Amino acid sequence: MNSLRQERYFRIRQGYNDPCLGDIGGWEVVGIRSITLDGAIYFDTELTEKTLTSLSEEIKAQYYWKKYIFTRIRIAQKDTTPIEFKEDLSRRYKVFNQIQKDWFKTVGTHETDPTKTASDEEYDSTYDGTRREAMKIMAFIGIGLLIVAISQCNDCNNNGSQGSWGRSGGGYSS
Amino acid sequence: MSRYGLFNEIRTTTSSATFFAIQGAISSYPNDPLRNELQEIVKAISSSNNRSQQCLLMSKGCELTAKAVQFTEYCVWDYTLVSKIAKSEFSSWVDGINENINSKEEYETSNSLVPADTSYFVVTLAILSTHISLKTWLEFLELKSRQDFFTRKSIEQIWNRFAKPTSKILKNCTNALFIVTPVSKDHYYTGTQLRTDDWDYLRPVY
Repeated sequence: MNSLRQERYFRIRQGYNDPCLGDIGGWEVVGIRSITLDGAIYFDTELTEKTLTSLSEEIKAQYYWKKYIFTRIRIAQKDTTPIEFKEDLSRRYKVFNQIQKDWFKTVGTHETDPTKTASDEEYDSTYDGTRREAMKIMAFIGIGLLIVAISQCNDCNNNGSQGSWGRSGGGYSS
Repeated sequence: MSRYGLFNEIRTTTSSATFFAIQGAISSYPNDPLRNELQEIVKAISSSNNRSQQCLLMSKGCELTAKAVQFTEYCVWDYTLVSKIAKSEFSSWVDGINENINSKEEYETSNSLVPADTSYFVVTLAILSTHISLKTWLEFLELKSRQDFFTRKSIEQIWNRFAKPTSKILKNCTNALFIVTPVSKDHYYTGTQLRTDDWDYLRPVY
């Protein structure tokens, strides 16, 4: 048994039927790890950007509605053919990100929002959710004020001040 | 010895409590070293009564889960700042999961590896806390954009929040659960299973 990271590209055999996705013969994938089981090799793969961008909206919509992770497929080596191909990883992940956004617009908006007070109110009708909303508004006002303060301070810098506002990026640190 | 993956048995507190939980389905295969390591961690948490030791183990578990985000394909997280709900939510997660892992049905519905479908194990973290550290962090989470709730990056950030051994949230919590299911290492959930009504609350992670 092993689990080696793969950077190999494959085309899924024509006529191959995935138990969930149906006919996916011809799709191109990149293996991200391999698994050997009972002498057979299986690949955990990601769809290439090229395949993802060529899928019809109708096909994608079918998978969205059923919450399929159709960008990842486990497939036996015997159902694949190695191909000569290379593509940029960051571009592929950009497409994945877009798929997540599309999923959110189509399906996600109908699902319970973990930060929403609706479910809290169901438990406790006396619960006042306006505090959360007020806090969000306050946070946005705070960010706005901070930006104004930074820009004013940068103006000071232009006038010869030695301050360093806006020079280095800060970030949330846990 | 506590119940599987649980710090202790405390469910109610006199002070105001908050609750947070996250659950992720990670694709796996026989003898997956990540799963083995996580299951050892759960076992060790259950057999210890030492809070610092339990926190260290749990943060290690969260760190490993954060690193596995590349293979995390479904996820859900939930929280509440309402004290009464926090207590009942925590109990419902702990009891629900424990009921499942002890039932015959769980053993029967999880599968041995099915090569034709992707196989998964599920990691769950649930926290009940009266300490300000969890509340403050949850208030920060509220500012996240809805579109980013279930991106791979967000999920990684959430797990990483608990991955530091110095995390005040874990150290000061009232009770916490960290568990890997199915408990049997030879059993998995299939992708088809995770898309049934029982798991309907899970969201895809891209």
